[in-house]
Amino acid sequence: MSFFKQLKEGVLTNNPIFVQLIGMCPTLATSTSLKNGIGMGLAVTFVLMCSNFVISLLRKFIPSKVRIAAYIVIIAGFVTIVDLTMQAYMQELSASLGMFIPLIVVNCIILARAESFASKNKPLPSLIDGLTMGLGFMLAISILSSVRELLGSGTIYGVEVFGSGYTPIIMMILPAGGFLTLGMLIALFQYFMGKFQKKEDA
Amino acid sequence: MKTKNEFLQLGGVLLIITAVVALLLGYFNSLTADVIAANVEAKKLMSMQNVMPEAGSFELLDVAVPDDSVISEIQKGFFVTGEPAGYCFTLKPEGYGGELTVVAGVDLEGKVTGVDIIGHSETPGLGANADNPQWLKQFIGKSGELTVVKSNPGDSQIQAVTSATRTSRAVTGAVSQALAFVETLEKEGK
Repeated sequence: MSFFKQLKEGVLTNNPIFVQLIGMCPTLATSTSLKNGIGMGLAVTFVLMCSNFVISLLRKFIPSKVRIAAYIVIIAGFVTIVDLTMQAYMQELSASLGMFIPLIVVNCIILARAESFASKNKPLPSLIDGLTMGLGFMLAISILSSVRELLGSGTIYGVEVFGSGYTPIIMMILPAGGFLTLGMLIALFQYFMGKFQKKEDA
Repeated sequence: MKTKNEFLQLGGVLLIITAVVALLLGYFNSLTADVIAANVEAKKLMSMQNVMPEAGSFELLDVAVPDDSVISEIQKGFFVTGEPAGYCFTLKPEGYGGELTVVAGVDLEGKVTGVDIIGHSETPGLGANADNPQWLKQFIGKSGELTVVKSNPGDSQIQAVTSATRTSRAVTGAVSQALAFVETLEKEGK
């Protein structure tokens, strides 16, 4: 399996958020600003790469009857490393992401990739799978959080865009705005993917 | 006997994985624990200096507070000369989205010297706006029992954050409790 094929899968045809619709909870909760979105995306990508790699290395050692328990322990280990590192060296980000960093442990994207990819493939392709799926997640959450931050606070990455005359649409950074934006983005994504696929078929 | 061996093997593998992860995390924790503890202390000191800019040093007071009080910690602030400057309260009132952590400074005359919010989970765009220096500034110089009003605040009145009355009341109520407690502290000669 080539790198580009895996990249296309993770970012486009099998995008974790826009196509697989998994990991919705952290996606909706932390996409209130682009800074948070990118922070979350990086944390998930790191954990996904590490856990995929280690689980693939141990895939013959872990008995299938206890595999889920073993995966969770490994994933929780990497998440704790990310959490401690953020608390020590990235305090501001750690404060704004709060509980959602420890909750990466139960993020379906990571367990799903461990179960459906890393447990069946060699370490290197598993590492790449972690990277490409993580990039797909990061791309989706960055778009989502840019839209929400722009409309909900009038800023992008904390920088004012519309000037002080703009009254923010507060609903966009509340849960309802998250669902609305996500729904519209998925619709848009599916529309363009459909066109793209037709062209490929022709 | 086969099943017994199988369970031992399953448990053994899990034990090995868990033990290795625990060891690694223990090591990692030893690397970061000091930095994290220092961060927490630095943040607290910074917010105390923020609400009581004139004080040079702080000392933790060992006093009992009533059970229903939101006061979680009291530090006494001192001028650089060593004279007492006032009290710094760490308050944990219940806001709209959960507990808030508020730091309030009160001088020896019972006047607020500053208020800062160091932790909250209020609604972004609404209650979270309380964590704004412009809003918190109106506490400075107030004394006595504080109340929240929607507009035109007078003495011992605080103008609410727009559409966030619950958050405003939580912060104001907590500061009021701190102000009331200063009398108790002075009576006890602390």
